[in-house]
Amino acid sequence: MIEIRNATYRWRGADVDCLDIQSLDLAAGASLFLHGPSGSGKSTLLGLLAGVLAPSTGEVKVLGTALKGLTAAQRDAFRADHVGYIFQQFNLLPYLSVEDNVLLACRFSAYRARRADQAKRSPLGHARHLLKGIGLDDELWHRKASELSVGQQQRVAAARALIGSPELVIADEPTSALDAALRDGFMRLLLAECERAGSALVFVSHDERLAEHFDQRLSLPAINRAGTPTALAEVVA
Amino acid sequence: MNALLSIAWRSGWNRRATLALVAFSIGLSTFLLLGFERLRGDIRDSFSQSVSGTDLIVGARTGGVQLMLYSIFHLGGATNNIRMDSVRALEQNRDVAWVVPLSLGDSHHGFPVLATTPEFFTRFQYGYKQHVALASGRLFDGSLDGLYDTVLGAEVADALGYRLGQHITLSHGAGGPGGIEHADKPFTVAGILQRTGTPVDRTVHISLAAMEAIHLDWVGGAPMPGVSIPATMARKFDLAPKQVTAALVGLRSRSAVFKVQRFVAEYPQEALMGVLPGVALDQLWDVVGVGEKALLALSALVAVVSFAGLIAVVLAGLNERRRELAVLRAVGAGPRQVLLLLLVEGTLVAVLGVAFGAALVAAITFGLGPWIQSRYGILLAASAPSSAEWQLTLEIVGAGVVASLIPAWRAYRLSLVDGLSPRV
Repeated sequence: MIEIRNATYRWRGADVDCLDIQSLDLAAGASLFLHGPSGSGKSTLLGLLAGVLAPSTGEVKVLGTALKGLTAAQRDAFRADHVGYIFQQFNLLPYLSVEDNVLLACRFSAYRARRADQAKRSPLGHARHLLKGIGLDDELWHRKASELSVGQQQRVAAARALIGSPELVIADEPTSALDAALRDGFMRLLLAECERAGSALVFVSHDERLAEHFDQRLSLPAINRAGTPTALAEVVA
Repeated sequence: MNALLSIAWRSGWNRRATLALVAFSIGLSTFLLLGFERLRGDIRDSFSQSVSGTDLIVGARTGGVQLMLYSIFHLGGATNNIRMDSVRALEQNRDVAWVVPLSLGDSHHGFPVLATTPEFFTRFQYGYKQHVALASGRLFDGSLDGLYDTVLGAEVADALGYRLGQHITLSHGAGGPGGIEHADKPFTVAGILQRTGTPVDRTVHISLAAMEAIHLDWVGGAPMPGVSIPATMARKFDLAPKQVTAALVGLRSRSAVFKVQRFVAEYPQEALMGVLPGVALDQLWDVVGVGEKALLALSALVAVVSFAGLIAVVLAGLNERRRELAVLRAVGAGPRQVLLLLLVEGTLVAVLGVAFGAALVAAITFGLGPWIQSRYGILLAASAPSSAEWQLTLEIVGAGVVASLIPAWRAYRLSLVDGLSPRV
């Protein structure tokens, strides 16, 4: 599923790498908890996995595809087809309905739309199935996303990440805006739905209590040999 | 593309209040540009349709444009009259087929009074060689019995609600407050003409003899004190005019037009000039063209301002939409699609604005066309847009697309730099 070998990334104009990972592997359908405080190269790593960035050196393979060999447009298409992405918050387009937000992923990828067809006969069928799965009342499905609570919005974001059963779901601190009760519910739901869809899950959080739910646990500062300016500052101190 | 169009539409709809204002201002500038183009075309049409079949207009020496404006459109004033002898001499010229003398100066409720011969109605042509025709009644025949007969243009009769047989009095000069009426010699409405869309509609026609009759007891532009000649008595005087304002001339062959023009210019007894109506119109457009260009430039400037508004509004909103762009990138949109999205949005606003402006032009042409024709004698054609108007419309939309490129390019840069982590 994921195969990283000696991958580095350096921002244009910077003198040092901000990410340098010797090796990172994840099997298909497995779940990985990445513990990463801010400044540990988290955004860069997720950017590499999602194909927004290409590694400066080394190799990042997702689904056996070396992302470095693709053009930026091909990487965008690859992300549309194979990756579901959940942000910390503000995942939804406020002016679209809940259903349309979930369907958005299928609009940019014929492959995802086809997989949704296979799952529940149509993208809309799959979207509704997922919305039911995350426990969102069907009366909310036609509401505008902006009318939902933060907890509901995060669940809808999970449904969108999972529509068309992408092989990889990336979640970037998706629970940090939720309180404890909502957080646990969201975690259970996300893991269960990923398992059901057969999607691998890369989950980044600085909340180590969540780590127990995952197959694999890694600390990003530990595997990032580059060391970020803040990390370096801590070492020096 | 369909997905982008739908997202652009709904994203824009979400910000409809500000975008509608921008579309409104684009609509107004479209209205200015298109309306101006239409008005310009229609005014030219109205003018060039107003006279045909007349080869030369002859009058006292002045500017060619001025002579034509005065004699055909009854706009402005003549510097001098010409003697009837000169008109007769012109009639003797071998190349001349007919001469219709025109005498102007009086008015009726703001409508100009034209004194002429009965031949005017058969010789004068407008549009594509169309003759003026009666809607009701009869023409004046130049006889003494019908001395005080008048034939009204369609607009005069409509505006003032005149019917056949009604009595009207003419005002001396342009009329208005303090003007003097020819109240002692009322006229009878003998005929009403069909609408022509030319200045004829707005003209009160009387015979040359009648013009003499109402001024018998006048001297130097005022009634002679203590002298009053009753209307019936006037018939006993010599009513042959000594002077007229101008004359329309038809030739046996158009090829002689420059020869006759030279004859007129070199006429030894009086300083005369003859103008070709088409040439005078061209000269007029040359003069008017400068003003038209200035107005067009001003309208274009208004359009530029409204497009600057479009750029400013979309650019200003962009920072708040960085999360929106990141969400789109997360579901697989590339920076190019983000660029396209903003381009589509700006183009939609421009197209809506232009459609609004064009609809406004159409509505005003339909709604106010009749009023404008009756007030100003300009026939606003409620016709399909001309090719020039289509071109102008496309140019405005094109300007909208170009303007949208600026925020679109900024969004492209933002989505490249931000990727999935917008710095908000």
